[in-house]
Amino acid sequence: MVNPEEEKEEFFKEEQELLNRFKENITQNLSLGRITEEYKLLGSKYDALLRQTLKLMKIGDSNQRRLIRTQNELQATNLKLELTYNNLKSLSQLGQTLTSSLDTKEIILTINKHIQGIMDSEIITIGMYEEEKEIIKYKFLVKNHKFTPSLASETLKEDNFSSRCIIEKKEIIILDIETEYPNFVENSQKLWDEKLLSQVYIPLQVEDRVIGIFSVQSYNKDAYNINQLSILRTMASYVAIAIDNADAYKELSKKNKQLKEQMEKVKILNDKLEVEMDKSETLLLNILPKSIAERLKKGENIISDYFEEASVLFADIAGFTKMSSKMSSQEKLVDILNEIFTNFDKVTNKYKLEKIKTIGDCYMVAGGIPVPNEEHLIRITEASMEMIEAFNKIQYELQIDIGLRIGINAGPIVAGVIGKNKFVYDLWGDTVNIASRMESNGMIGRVNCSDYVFQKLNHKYIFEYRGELEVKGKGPMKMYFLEGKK
Amino acid sequence: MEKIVIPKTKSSPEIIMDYKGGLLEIIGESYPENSLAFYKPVFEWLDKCIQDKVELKVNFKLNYFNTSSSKCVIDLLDRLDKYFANSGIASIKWYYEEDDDDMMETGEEFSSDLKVPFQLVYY
Repeated sequence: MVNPEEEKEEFFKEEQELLNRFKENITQNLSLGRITEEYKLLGSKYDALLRQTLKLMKIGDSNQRRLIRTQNELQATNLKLELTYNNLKSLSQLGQTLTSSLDTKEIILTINKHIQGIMDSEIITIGMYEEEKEIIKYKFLVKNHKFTPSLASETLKEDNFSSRCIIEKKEIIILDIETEYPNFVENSQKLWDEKLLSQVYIPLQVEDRVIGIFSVQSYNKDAYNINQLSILRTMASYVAIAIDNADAYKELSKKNKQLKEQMEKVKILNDKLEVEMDKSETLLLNILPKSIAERLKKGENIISDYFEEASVLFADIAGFTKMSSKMSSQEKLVDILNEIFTNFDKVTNKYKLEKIKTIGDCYMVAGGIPVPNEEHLIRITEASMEMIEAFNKIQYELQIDIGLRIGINAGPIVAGVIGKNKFVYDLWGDTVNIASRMESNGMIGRVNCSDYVFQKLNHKYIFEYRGELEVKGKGPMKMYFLEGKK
Repeated sequence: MEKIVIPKTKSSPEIIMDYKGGLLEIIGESYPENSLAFYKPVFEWLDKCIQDKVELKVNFKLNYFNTSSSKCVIDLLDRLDKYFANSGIASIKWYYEEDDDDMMETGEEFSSDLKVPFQLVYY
């Protein structure tokens, strides 16, 4: 910084020198003439100094005024900036509110709330463009700041502000309808009120699609300035996004609902199907052993398995045919057969044997298939005795004249399923034929066994040897009645 | 003598001193820390011109100046006025922005009591 005293001396060098000389002179005894001279000189300098000071004062003042003016201008600019900032802030808040609302009524009411105080808005409306019908429906209207149901619509086929706005994808700004309407349309038409002098129509666009019109109107002329128009444009872009979102949401909700309904239907169908599947599964398992059913389901067409040793039992109801010709009711007959076989089924299940089939009044069961089992012959033997017991009980209860013959054999067997329709798990081989012969050569109330069975079970069971009996197609064969456990 | 140009800074104006054309231009804002020191070369140049009886044209195009700068301007003008009174040839132009009334007024203040031709020009 410059020292003020030095600065003074520098700035007013001449004056300072004069003053110093004067001070010096005045202390000396100078002549009056000389003093007068000095005074004159000092006076003229003083005069010049006063003049300069006055100038400086005035210049200083005007400089100050200038500064104050600049400051005021800056303040005004700041205020404007602040206002713009606030507008922007409230616009971006509006944007957030709008874009997150999914209902057009809510959208227009939000705009109504925000727009008040910023600009005139006697009419705020959102028109939805229906492309297929070529119309713009102004369903959403806020008139004098109140939501008013509206049925107004305009068609693209006519020349009006809305159709211009949609077709040309351009905003229409009218600040005095009386003088400006010919710039846009041939005939001035006022959709809502004769007195709406300022009208702004902004197309609602999402990318390239026009989805509607956002319009704000006022009773005053020149109601909208550049700033307000730019606010309206920003609002329009938010509205477009919001409505598009709302549409997408509605569409999504609709699809969702449809999907839910479809799923509901599918679920019902599925449930039904499951019940049906369960039924057919049960049926299948009634016909086929579980492991065989699984194999068929997996795609095996022909199943034929060889078993080194399995046992076969035939149980035939003797006298049934005779009885059936006497029975008045066929149904009763079937009931009796059903009861007997149901009891046999229980025995079969108890000993984990495989029921093969019934042929008329004959019941066929096997052991050691389809899952080989070392105990199969013992099991089938025990079963045979229980079958006779069960049969006798029924016969006693019903007092009917029938008898049960059982034959058992064991040996190698082929088991499987052949054919495509009405398939059944069946057994083939000599072992099966012999078992059948054991039954037919047996006696009522007895279990007739082959020599093979006797050889296998002799150590555990008591047998009555019957001798060799002639078997059709086989010749003489040793046979044994099962007496019971040892 | 060559043309001297003092480039403008944030607080001092651009100064062009062209001895051949007798041209002095002061353009910009003037509020240097030490005005007297800043304008010293201008005074020296002017004194040389006056001594050599150069025909002088002086243009002021100032947007802002502080009080000590205005004292220097007054001194410059006074010196030119004296030169003019002693039959030196000099003319002064004071430029101001068209709607800057205050700067025009300031120009008027500067020119008051001067005999040397002083013209107010807006741009």
